[in-house]
Amino acid sequence: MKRLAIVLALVAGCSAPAEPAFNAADVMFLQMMIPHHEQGIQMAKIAEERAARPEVKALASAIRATQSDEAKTMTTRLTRWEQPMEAPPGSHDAHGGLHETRPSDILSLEKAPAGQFDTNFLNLLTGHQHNAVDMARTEVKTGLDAATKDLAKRIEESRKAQIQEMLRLLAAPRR
Amino acid sequence: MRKTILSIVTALAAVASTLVVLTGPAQAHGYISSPPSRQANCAQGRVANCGPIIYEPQSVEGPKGQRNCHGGLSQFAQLSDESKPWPATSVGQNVTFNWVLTARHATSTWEYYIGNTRVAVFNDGGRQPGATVSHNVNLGGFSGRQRLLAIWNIADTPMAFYSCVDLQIGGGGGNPQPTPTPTVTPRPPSPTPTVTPPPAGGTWRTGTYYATGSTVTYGGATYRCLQAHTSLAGWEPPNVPALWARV
Repeated sequence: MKRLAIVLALVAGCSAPAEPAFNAADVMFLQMMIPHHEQGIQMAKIAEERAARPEVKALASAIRATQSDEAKTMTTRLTRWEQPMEAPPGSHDAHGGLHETRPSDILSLEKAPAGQFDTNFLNLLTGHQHNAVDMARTEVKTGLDAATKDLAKRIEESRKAQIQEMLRLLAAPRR
Repeated sequence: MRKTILSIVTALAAVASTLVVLTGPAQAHGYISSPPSRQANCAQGRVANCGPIIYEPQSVEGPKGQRNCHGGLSQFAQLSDESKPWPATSVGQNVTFNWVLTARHATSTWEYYIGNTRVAVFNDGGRQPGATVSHNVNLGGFSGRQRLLAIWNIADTPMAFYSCVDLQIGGGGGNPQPTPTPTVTPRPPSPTPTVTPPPAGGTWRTGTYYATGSTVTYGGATYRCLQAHTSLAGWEPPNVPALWARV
């Protein structure tokens, strides 16, 4: 596949020298990551309003800001590649389904009792970011476009660090 | 020409998506986050030299009916290594266990064991779990340092997920403490983030709280913090324009 994609890129190069070289894994990564980011942003926004601990609030704000930027980068890239924002229905079933954060999960976060909010948020977002790490690792292994693989590497690294921070917050006594 | 190439790309995309599915991430699913399980302590970096579990604490999946911490998986055998310095969380007789889930499988039961005693079981009757899962468990009079084993039994597969939690149970038998809030025992030196902002113009580093407006140097350039945050790997100033502006 990789070789075919490179050949294609070379062929494309004849008519459009600046045509970027990318493959289906790059496209799928972006198509899956954009909605995944949007869900993360939704959760973070709720936490910015509702979190009790200031450090949880600060983490949520930073996650909202950085993921909004990344989502813009990814959307711009898919547009430049003239690829659809969404994959054909059903093509992600093997990834999605059980592994998705459901709309009902976000709704139940919104409705979580005040005393439970921070714990629920941290557990929900930790699970969500574990899934981001999995998708990013797949892209690093199977993607072609250098910029997208770099983004995936940074996503893998920053989500792992966020998971560590959230596990620390979950284990640490409340002040 | 361009259209032809695009249609070839699309056709290849269909083929490749199958490949991506086949080589996709390991199916991974859940663990106890607090009080921290052994895999949570490994993933957090609180316990060193844990092996590959640090990348996927949610993946301790093995056939049902086991009574070990690693689900019988050789690559995660360190989770059952009692010689490792597992930190124990101080708790009373009633403890709330919180789970991180990355896939919401239909569930038969959640079981909690200390030794051979099943101290609690929660029957979900084959339902999918909610957004988050937590259980309040009475530890049945056990006291002192104990290793609790939690098992998440999946309804529609022969598999289960295993999490061991090390506890220091106070309060004595039949004398439950009023607060189920776990507290953490003092831990060995670890990369605890500092909350003191570094002097202006210091070198950027991880685990540091940066206030809006503070400045750092990174890779020979100076950056100003746009939004207060605790820094972490992957959030190096040039990589996150939402958090840092070059000055």
